Amino acid sequence: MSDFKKKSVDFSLKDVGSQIIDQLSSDIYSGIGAILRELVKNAYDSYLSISSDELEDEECPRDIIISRDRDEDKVGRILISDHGIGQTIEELKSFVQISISKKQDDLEKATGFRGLGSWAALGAGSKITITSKKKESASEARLTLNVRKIYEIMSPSSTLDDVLNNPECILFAERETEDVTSHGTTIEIECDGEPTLVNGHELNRLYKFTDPQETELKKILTQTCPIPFSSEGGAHSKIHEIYDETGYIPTQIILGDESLERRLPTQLTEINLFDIHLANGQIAAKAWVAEDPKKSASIESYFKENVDLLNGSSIQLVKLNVPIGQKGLFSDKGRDFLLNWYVGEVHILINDVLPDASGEGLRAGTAREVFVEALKHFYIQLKERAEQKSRKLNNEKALRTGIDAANKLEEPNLHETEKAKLTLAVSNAIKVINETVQRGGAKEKSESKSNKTFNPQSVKNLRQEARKLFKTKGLLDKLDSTPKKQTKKSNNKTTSVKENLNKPQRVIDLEVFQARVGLAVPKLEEIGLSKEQISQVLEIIKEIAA
Amino acid sequence: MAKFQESEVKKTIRLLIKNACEFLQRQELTYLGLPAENATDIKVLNGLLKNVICIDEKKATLEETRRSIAGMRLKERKFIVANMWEYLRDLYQNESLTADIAFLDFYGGGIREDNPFAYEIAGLRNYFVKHAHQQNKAFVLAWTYMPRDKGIEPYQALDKILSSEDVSFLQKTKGVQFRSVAIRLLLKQLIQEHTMSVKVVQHAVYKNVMNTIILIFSKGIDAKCEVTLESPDSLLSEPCYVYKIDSLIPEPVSLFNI
Repeated sequence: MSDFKKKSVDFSLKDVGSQIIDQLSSDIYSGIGAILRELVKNAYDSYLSISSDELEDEECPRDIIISRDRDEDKVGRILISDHGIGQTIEELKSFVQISISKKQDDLEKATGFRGLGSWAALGAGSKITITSKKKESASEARLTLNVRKIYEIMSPSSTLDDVLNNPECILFAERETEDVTSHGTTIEIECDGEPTLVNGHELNRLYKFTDPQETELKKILTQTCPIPFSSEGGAHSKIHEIYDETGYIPTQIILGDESLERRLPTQLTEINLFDIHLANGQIAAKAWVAEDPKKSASIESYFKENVDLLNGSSIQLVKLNVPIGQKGLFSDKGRDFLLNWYVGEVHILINDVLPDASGEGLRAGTAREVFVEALKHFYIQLKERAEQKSRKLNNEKALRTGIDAANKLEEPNLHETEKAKLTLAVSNAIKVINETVQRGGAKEKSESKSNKTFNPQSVKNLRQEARKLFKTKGLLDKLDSTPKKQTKKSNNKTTSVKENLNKPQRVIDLEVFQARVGLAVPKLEEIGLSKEQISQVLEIIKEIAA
Repeated sequence: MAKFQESEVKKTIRLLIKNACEFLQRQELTYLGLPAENATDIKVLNGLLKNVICIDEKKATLEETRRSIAGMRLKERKFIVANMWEYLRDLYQNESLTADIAFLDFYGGGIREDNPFAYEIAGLRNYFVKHAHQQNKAFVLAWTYMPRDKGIEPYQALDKILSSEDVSFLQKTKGVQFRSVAIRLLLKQLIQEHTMSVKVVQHAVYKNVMNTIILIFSKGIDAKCEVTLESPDSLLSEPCYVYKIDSLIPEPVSLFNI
């Protein structure tokens, strides 16, 4: 028997089934948002090869324009147009290549990196036309994908060759143009009617959105596309700082004639920047977080859908300003509601951490795991900040109420119940004065660049004001149930409380005591106790007092 | 202005139209016209426009127009397959938008074989009816035409709407002049009917026979408009500016001497 001899066997497109196209387009890009995101990202990336100075010299805006219309025959179209570098006819080929992407190698800070080009948009319409004019080229290139025809041909027995090399399915064309200076690309998705199946494949999926009066498209774009924040100053300038640091170049996305811009609600006057570190100290992401310093509750009601374009509260993960998944992604579910006290973004810096194909999560791998751990830690710190803020605001409230109550106690002819209520308020304020909060401890992996959120000075000032007032009115000694401290006042350290056996006994009327307990019940609810728990507390008090 | 080679005069015409739009002193204008594939007429007005209504008899042309203006910030884009005169006659009145600038660019002539001029009359009549509903607001109308026709007979429809004085005046003109005078008389009549005032921004004559008349008109006084409008009679006294290849300046020539 002779030995095996090497034989070369060439593969061609005829060896690949055409069904792969369907898998590429429908399995990965199942959502309308995902399709639009890919197309907008391509448009964004087309600007990366042109400097801002060049665009300025040409008086060419850095924008991506999305237009739509329906004609009398009910044929609808969505067009996505940019003034980027443009493509030659040879380069247009990249739109139909599969899994070959030049972008990530050639273009730093490219947002697209999968090499799936226009297949992403295949089921979006019945025909896709890409027209492009490269800068300084004397010709305009065009690629037409006849989706309906492609789907008619696609079957278990047809091959990629039947599709890719069939001019009825995919047509390249070119024409000379006098206008040498213009450049850019327009992708046109034509829907010849309502969504329908051809050979089991759905097309015209974007038909509904071709109606210029339709309102949902704007929401989808804000959820999936890199909409920049307004460049108006104030808090927005901090967000633009992060843009600079992450390499995202603000690019206007225009729907019709409306510039889509995100804006912070005016109540969110506090904005802080954070660096999120990995365990090895590397900065993995930059975050900005905004909140209402006067509110310790959800800020969801501050958002107006078509005004701020922020899709509500909580924290959005982004890469080069492209949203990844839902807000609060990778947050552990415990106390998740606390994230709704904020709105913010985490901008991924690390190159190896990338969105997955669907854009709803991160690509699997070690980099992802390490990053997610750091992100979770960041979320936990935000939640702890929220709780601290809640305590601080409660303390402020207690002090202010106590100050008001102390002033009112001097009024004549106060009813006993009213007096009891006011006395309780003063007592609560005194407790706050005596309280010292110890925080710190474990090294924080997330650092706040501008940690003014809690502004402890305001609480200190109130504390001092209250103490002075209570002392003047003799209330401090009268109502302070805390044993006198042995040492001088310390700085933010917890002091242990010792019982003062010499403290005179106080006698209190039963009715007054009952009134005070009754008045405390709402307070117990306010701090989160359930009705059952409150009953248990009252039982305990009853036992103590018995 | 698409299939025909760009010339400096054509560029000038576009800029004159743009100037006329700027005289209106308002933004977010609506354009109505036949921009053809390259839509250069629209692109030159970039920044002034909010809406466009594009008319062409060929669907394929409008598809290219759509792509050509895809990169412009516009709120409404309408692409209507129709003959422009028929559109003005039958559909424009029901259009929700009112064209701040209407550019009837019949560079290739625009003259119909069947019942010529009756279509222009019907179309323009309904155009002015729609605009007459807007008080104290100025509009720009630009019309490019070529006086390529074969004599007086096709203009008999004018007999029905012009005064006898104007008809006899028209009958004294001939040749290349004839169509221009007919158009000026028609415009005068229609503007007069609606008690509007008007000003010719420019009537350009180029390539020997091409004409573009650009005018601003208004029913009532548009306080914002930078141009002082006059009576419809002024239409007859406004000169034409003849652009010749070997000339340094466009030469003002009386309408009756072109």
